[in-house]
Amino acid sequence: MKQELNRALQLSSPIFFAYFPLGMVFGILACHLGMSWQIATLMSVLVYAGSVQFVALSIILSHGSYFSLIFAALFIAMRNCFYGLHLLERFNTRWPLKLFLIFGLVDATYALLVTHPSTESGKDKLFCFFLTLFIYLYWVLGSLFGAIFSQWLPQFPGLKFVLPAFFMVLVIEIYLKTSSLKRFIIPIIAAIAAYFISPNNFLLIAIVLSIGLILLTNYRKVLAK
Amino acid sequence: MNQTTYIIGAIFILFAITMITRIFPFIFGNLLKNSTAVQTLGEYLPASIMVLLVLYEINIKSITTAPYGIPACLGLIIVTLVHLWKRNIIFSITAGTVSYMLFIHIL
Repeated sequence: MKQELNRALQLSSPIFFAYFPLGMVFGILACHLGMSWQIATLMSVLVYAGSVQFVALSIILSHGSYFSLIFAALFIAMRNCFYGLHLLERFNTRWPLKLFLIFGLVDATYALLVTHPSTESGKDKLFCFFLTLFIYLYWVLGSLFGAIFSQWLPQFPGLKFVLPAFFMVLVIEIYLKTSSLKRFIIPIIAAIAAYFISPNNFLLIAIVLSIGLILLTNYRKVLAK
Repeated sequence: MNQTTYIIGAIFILFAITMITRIFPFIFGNLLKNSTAVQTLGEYLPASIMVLLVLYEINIKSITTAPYGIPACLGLIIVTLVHLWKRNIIFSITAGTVSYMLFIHIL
């Protein structure tokens, strides 16, 4: 057990430097936007999805409807549907543990699990558990820390830029992995169209248009059996 | 609806949604694996969503009024250059955000 714990701690330590500060920024922003530290932390404990939480902050702040919240969250979180597909066998265990592993399957956990296949059978579930737990704690503790200390921190104008910067980094990472610019043309066309259709429902319309364009431009692949 | 109720409601909705999207493949895995439409979306949609989130978060409406989204564009260019150079997520975000803060101060 100690061996799995150490391995999980060692592998997840670089993630600490990403999730803890990012969680902190979330806590600070949430509190500066008027949430209490308890509510901000509760959100990280229950929702545990960085991009969803950040986008939700913008929507909640502009008093968006639950419908627009559900729609935006659904599509941002949807990439998780594809993560699970690679871990069907590996997470095949008792339900309470399985539920926790599924709940904790965020970008970093997925990336580490897929790049570090199970070593010996039997103990691998324990390793998965520790890895998931540690990464979860980095995020929650970061949020708690940021939320509590936000009171003493001045409001920096422009701190909100961490969000577009964070998504921009993910865009670059996708580009570096696929080295194709083609897949970035679709969202730009969709964005321009959505902007002219209705700037207030920009995200929702742009996502729907992107889905349509992706299926349309790949219709041969989609229809092929 | 009062503000706290609205936010707590939102948190539980978001909890349900992240849980549903994460558990989905474990229930419908075999169905999804065989759908070509799902595979195509799985391949192309993440890139689209990320680009749209960048645009959403810099607030696309700000482009029509001064300073015409220039600080945001410069900030994103810095993020890109720094990330291609060091490929360290936290470093890139910090560099971009700090320069954005400077730009909105200067411009």
